[in-house]
Amino acid sequence: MNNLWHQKVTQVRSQIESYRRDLLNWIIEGGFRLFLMMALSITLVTTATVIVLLVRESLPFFQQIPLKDFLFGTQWEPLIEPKSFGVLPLVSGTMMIVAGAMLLAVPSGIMIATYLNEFASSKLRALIKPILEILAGIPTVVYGYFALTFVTPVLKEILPDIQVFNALSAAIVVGIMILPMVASLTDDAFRAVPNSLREGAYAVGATPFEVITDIVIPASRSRIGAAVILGVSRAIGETMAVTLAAGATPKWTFNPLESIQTMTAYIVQVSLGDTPAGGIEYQTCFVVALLLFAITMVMNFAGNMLTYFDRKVG
Amino acid sequence: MLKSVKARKRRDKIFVWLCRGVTLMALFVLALLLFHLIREGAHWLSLDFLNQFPSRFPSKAGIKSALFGTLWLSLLTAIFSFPIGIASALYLEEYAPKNRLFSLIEMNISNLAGMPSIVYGLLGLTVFVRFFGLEQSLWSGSLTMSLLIMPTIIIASKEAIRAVPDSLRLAAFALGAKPWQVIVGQVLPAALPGILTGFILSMSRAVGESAPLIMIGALSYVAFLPQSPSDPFTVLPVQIFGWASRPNEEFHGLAGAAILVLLAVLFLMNLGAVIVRQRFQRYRL
Amino acid sequence: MTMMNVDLQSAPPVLEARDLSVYYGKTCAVNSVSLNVGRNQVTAIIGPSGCGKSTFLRTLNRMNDFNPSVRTEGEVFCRGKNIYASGIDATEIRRSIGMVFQKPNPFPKSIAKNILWGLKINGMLNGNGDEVVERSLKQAGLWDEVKDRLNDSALNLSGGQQQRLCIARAIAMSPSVVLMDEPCSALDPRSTARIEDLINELATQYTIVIVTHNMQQAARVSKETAFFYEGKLVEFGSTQAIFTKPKNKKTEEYITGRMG
Repeated sequence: MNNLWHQKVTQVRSQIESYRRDLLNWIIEGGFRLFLMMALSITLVTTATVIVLLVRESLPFFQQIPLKDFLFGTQWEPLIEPKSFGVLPLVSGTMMIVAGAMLLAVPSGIMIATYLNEFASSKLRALIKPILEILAGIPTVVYGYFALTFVTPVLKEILPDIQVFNALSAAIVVGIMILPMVASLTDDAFRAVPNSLREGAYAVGATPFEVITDIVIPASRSRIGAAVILGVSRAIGETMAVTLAAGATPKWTFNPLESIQTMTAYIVQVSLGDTPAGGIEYQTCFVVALLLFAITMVMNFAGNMLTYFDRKVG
Repeated sequence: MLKSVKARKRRDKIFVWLCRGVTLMALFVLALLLFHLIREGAHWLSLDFLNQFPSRFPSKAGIKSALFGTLWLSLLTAIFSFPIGIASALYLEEYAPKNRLFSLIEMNISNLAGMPSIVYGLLGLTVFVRFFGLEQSLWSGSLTMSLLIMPTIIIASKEAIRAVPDSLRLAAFALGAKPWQVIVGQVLPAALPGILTGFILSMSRAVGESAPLIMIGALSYVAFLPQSPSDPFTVLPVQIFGWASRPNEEFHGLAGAAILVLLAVLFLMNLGAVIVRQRFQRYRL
Repeated sequence: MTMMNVDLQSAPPVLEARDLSVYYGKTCAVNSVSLNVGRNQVTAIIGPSGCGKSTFLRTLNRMNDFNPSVRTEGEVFCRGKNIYASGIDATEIRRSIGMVFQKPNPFPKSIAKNILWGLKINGMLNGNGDEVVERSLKQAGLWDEVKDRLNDSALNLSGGQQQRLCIARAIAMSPSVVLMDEPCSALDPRSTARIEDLINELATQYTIVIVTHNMQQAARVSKETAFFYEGKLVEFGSTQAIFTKPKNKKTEEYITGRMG
């Protein structure tokens, strides 16, 4: 009797113990999932906050300055009287940097990718790739320093008219900075081209040059396009090199030898001064940042989509 | 008429040499950069340089406060971004269903990774410095930096987690483990070396970044060491920016010397990443 | 191209491998093989996987050149010229020895451009090429299916159509020899049957060497068959003889399915 009772108690006890463990497990599982989810939501909160913030601070600005004057005005003088708020000088400054950087980075990036992929031995490739990646890992402020203290003086020897701060020198270092990214994305694109395609081309008597220019590059054009777009986006957002080397004089010009100002450099300039929060000078920062954000986000989105769909199609 | 193979071969040779030349050129630029830095900055390097505060007089100036600031900032940034970055990646890889919402979230992360750093600076300035009243402190700086490197950490961690073979998960599930037990007990340890490698590389981006810190008000003239995270601070890249933007040649030399120190720090971090990858990483995509 | 005036019965070989060996690093993949390929007929190469048959085929138009770890010894004569002699350019060789691969590999271009590309880069294109496109596609039995969409991307074709396009691409160059490396291994049975019919038709005008892991296919399409085993040419003779009265024990084992 006593024994049976004891057995029953043990049974119930172990039952309870098992329920307890299940419940605990369930709570831990749920809590764990919740924690991970909350962590992930931070990325969404970041994007949302950025958008809300930029728009909120920009709205009062556009109540005073018509959008048309902002977008198509060729005078940018928000800090000195008489104030004018045409953003085109900052845009032209940025575009000069972008154009120069891409002119340098895209052809050489494609040629480096070609060399690594089609011509270099695998040993050489394994040696060169990490060295090139060092170039991508160097902080941008270092490139700014390099532009200011090396590239500009060298350019001055060749082009005596060049100003101490100029778009050309900044564009060159931004190009060097972006080069590894373009090269490595193009390299990925070339690697995704099946070897059977190359063999097919060689089998009809093509030379490497013909195979690359006529088969490999066209076959990977959407990914190369993505590399270019992402490179442009990086160049637009680049800050320190252009702040140090390109100058702080917004000018509606396309002369790369002159001092200019980019959108990013303007934002830095304002933040370095003692601009009181709330005034229209302070708001210009957010307006320019909104434009910057809109442009880069559209480009990043396009670039990522291109890569994404290309990968899906195979 | 057959096209002369000789002419085509010649064009080919020129092309190969062009590609090789451009590649060499890129390597040459790197060498040139390093050479220039050493020539400009090496003679300013000394123990005193590491051990002095910035000064109006170049000969008395040093990077002590910047070095400590960089150390503080990286430590705090690591504490914030490491767990949250991994957690996000784990959710995306292990729990998230493959639907439109989550491809949108992943797309958002890729886009955030490409958002200009200066926009992060404005975000930090408005949210941490002003809204939360954290002032121009290490709190503000490290929280801003955490947001900046989070997308890169998530992307790298996701790849490391994806490289863990499914057989490992199935084996754990077959022993009756709950999802969280599988993840914490099997997936995470297996992916950790890969995650760490990506994390160190993201951290080296935070160490070299300056624009957002300038935005939130990191100073280039700090003559004291931060005692707690609520103190103002400076970091190496900001110090470099401060010196480089002065017209004085001697300050350019100081900037060069500080860059050499910064590059040495980054080199050590990258070396660490390589060692982790080579010694511990078992699964790779 | 001048036609050689020869008696077809004892036609001199178009392609002749003499004592050919191929090494991957230190492993010998093809061990001193000598083989004659007769004109305007199909020669099949069969053997278990890993026997070196594909490697051997790729030496015949120097496609192994791209793999730096491959070393080739011996000679291959194509219409009397050693393609491994110094001073001979691999590009020139491939112009006259076409190749069709395991998986269809059309270029990501239009159907017409796929056919004309080889001619164009080699400067062999006279006029706008419509005629070549039509003739090649007709010979490859693809003309009726694609004549209305010659400017569509070749990637929109089915697998079997793509492979026939690749054959058309090869014969557009008027090659002396067409090498086929398991051309049906990625295709369904119906497409395979079409390609086999096509090979039989082409054999009246072209010299074809086909590698296949499918013995029935060799029996159906070829006039002569070579059996490779562990890098060596074990037996070579008329297909009928190989399949009905194999001389070598290994060949017999393979033919009767006692060997993988």
